[in-house]
Amino acid sequence: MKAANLLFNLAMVVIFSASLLAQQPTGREIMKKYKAQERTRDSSVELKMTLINARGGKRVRQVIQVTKTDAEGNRKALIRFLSPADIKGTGFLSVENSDRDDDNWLYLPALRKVRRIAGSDKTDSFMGTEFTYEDLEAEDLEAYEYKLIGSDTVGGVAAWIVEARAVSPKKIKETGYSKRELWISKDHYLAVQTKYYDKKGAYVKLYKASDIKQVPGTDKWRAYRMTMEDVRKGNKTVLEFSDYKINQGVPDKYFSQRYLKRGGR
Amino acid sequence: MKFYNTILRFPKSVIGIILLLTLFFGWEMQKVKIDNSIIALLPAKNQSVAMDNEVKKIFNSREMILIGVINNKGIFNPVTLQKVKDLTENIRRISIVEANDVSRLQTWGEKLGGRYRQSIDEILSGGITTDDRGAVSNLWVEAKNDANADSGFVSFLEILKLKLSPVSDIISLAEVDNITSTDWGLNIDSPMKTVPRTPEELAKLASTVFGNEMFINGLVSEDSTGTVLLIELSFNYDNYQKEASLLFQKLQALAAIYQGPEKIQLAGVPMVNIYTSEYMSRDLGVLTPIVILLVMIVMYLSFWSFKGVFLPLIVVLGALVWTMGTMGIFGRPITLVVTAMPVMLIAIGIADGIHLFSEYKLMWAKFKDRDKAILTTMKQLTKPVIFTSLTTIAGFASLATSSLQSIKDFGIFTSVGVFAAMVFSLTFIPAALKLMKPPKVRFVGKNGELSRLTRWLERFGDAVLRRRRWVLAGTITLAALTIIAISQLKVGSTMVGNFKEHSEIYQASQMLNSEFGGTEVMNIIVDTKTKNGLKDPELLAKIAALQDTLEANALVGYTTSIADYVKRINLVMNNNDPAFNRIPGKVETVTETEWIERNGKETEIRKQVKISGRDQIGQYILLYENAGGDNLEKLADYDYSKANIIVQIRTDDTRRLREIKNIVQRFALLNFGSTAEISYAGCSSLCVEADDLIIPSQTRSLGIALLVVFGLLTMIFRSPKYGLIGLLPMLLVILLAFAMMSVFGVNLDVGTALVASIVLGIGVDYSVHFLSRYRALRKEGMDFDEATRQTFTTSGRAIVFNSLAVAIGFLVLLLSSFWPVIHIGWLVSVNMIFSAILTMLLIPVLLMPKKKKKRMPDEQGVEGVAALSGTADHALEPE
Repeated sequence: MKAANLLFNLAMVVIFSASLLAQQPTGREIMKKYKAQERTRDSSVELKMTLINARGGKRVRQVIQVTKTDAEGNRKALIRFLSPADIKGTGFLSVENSDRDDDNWLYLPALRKVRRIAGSDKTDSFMGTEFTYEDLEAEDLEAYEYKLIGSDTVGGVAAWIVEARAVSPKKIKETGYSKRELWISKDHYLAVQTKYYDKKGAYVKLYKASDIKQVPGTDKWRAYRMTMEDVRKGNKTVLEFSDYKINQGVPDKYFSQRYLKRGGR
Repeated sequence: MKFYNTILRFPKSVIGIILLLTLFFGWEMQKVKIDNSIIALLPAKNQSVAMDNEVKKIFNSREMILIGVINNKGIFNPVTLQKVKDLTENIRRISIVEANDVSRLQTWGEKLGGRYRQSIDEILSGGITTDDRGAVSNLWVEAKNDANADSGFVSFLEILKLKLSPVSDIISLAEVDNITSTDWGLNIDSPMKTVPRTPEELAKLASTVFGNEMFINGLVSEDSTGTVLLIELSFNYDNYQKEASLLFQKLQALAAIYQGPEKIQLAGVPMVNIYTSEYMSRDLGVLTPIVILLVMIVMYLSFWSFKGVFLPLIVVLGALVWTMGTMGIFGRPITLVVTAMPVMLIAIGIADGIHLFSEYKLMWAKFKDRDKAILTTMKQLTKPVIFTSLTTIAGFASLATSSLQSIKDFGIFTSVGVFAAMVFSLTFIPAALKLMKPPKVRFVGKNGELSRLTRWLERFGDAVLRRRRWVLAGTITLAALTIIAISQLKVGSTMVGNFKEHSEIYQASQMLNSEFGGTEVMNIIVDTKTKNGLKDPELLAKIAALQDTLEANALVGYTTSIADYVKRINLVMNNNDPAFNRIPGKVETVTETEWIERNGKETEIRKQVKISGRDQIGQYILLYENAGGDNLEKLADYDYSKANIIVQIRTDDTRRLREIKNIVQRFALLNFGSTAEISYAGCSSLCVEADDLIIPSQTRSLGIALLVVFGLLTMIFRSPKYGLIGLLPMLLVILLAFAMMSVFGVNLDVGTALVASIVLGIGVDYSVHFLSRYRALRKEGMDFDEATRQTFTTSGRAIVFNSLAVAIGFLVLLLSSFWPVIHIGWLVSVNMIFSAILTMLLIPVLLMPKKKKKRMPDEQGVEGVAALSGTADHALEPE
């Protein structure tokens, strides 16, 4: 009798656990949903970048960003500075290519010249912010291995914790990180927090997203406030978004060198 | 006498209490640290120190170690360049973790348990290496954010992290930001990613390096015989001197590996500090035992008894422990100046013990009763011991008013030492004498030689009195001459110049200074007080002009500022057209190409557009940041209101540095006006600051000391006239000491500034002895001539012995590694002899009654002082 009971209990536990496991998505499944949520045909948004150093000094820059993603998933992005006055009109254009390195151009109105920027070093800071070019790229699911390592609640939002490690040789060479830990919200599949570990395995940066809202007229949810902090030095960049528009049609001509230059005035 | 009766009743308890106190001070002594930073010299509240700290924070700047790689045949060959590359990589990987750090980490793991233990075990598995930097850093971040974490653990991890990566940045040919423009845009990259092998590659590297004027003198020497590696420490030298020294050993070992035929030399401000620290420890370790040995020999020769050696020795060593212990309690460090203190305390403090012991021997011979002998000795000598200690303390304590911290410390703690020696003499010695067997009464030393001294002194005394006018005239002439000499005295100090010429650091600094821009750094801060003020083309042009003005001075080897970066980017963004190797003007004209639809066809048209130079500068800076450049952090503050001009100078002589400061001051007055405020930071600026404080500080201290000594003498003799007579020889000796410095080309610096106070503090005892003996003799009824003659043969003899003993003691300082300490040594030695001579020359002349009225001078005697004259002077006389 006792033995039977025990056996029954054990069986129940096994079945229950198995069913739990079945409910648990894999890291890759989560990231697929994340990617689907992230992906748009096009978008346009205004954002305020506040760079704060460890001593509390601030540099504020206002930019407008438009993006467009083609059928292959390659993204084009144009960023234009609106303020401060001395860099107003400065534009940054990046075009992802599937067969070769991405192209990056910078337009400096004070020189009236478009300059091509080395695109190979993705670990460089983007315009002096705590974000590197790599941080701003769209997630490349094929280049990473994902592992679900737990779940957690961040700022009241339930999230999966997914560990991402580069596996493709190209990405391993390019990336500045040994791994990332992403907190993906269970409701909208947005990254609400990410921890970045450098090549030596040291935890170096913390990304946090908040003020999550549905973009009007779409099924997309976006964080209207992002911070990236260098946890060792204490420097921080805050991005505040406004006037988000998704899939409202952005003309192709925005992503040409000519437009990059012309829009400067 | 009740006091001494008590001591004689409980001698063991007295010694026990003293022993306990000494143990306590000995324990506190461990806390004393060596500190040779310039900050230790300056007062804590000094404005320049605050400014320097602020600048370090704003610009995230630290002192640099320079490693010069010098090859007389030129550095552009594969072997030398490979060495530069290897050195760069190896230096980046340096760890200074020690065995006890590992065991401490292990202990923390065991103590904390849980997840900390797990992480610690992971770090420790396979030994701790630079690869564990990440893991240690993670652990530190975790502990720092853990409210329950032990603060000792957090700070341990912080230091461990630092020891795993003591070098925060390294700049060399293999790792330097070279701003270039290529056909595809602006590029910031190292000019030597791989070591060139072929002649073409080598030539290309040379032309790249010399194509960037920011590298010439800064990174490679003009004649390409040398290149430099700049190593930035990941910590502030002042706070982590021990770690700096560990790092230095590693660097030294690395340099040794690659040495030859290239010369590899380490220099720079941290290196000078590290060497100073090492030589200071060496000095303390070597000089102190030598002076102890010397004193022991001298005492053995005068007493022929081991007791006579050890009692006074215990007094000075005990006093030394108490002094160092007090320094430990107050957390005061040993600075360069303070290294001379032990030798000084021993030389000064030994006198009391000697006096007491020799008096006791006399009394024992007289009474053959231990207690009576001790009591009589103490009764006779307590006041003299207290008086002479007080006058000496007055000389040193006046230094406490100095604005220079290390001089202040020296004054305060030497006073503490003299006081401690006094306490020891008056308590320990009677107690010890009570417990010890009485001395054998033995008469040693034939009177022959010593009585020759007596005869000589007698003759000297007579001569002085006969030639009174000559003495007075001579004195006045001497005083006048000293004043002329003193007017030529120069204030000036140098850190590297403190070392002897053959020392490694002196040689290395010389070599690097001749090859490159200079090892000494001055920061000039240009504060526009407006956000983005630095983006103003006119202001940047002025900064560039200031740099040109400075570089026109042969001692300034290299300067760098945000203006250099703007210039460089302007040049490369304009296709390396030399016309653009400048700061953009207020308005710049650029050619714009545009496509216009004309007749259904796109046509390219060109037109000239006027653009604000300020916008160009703003965009250049953005471009630079975006290309991954981060050097501007060290040259401009976050909101671009303050610029940091880094000036490398080929000397650290403060007199030269002051000239350079003056150049800046003049330029600023004429050019910056009210648009920007200039201030200074960096080691060199602080050194100049310290020097500027020396003269007012010393004048004040000496003034106070003279007043206090005058007051004390007046009090002891109850006569201002005696006070003045006692003071005059000392005044002359002080003038003489400064004059000697001037004549022998010794600069007044924080070390040599002390000479006058030391001489005054010790020398005034001679006046006290001489005057009180003379007075006692007059009181006994002798006339002037007789009393003077007697004073010469008794007191005079003691003064000769004492001054010789102190002079010999101070000569030990000649063995020091530092010029300022050596200078203190010989100057004090020579001037002790002079104070003895001048005391004996001047006092009798000044005491001499005017011939016409043969009246006795003021006669109100003081009982205690009579005792002083009666006995203290026997001390060094033969028995």
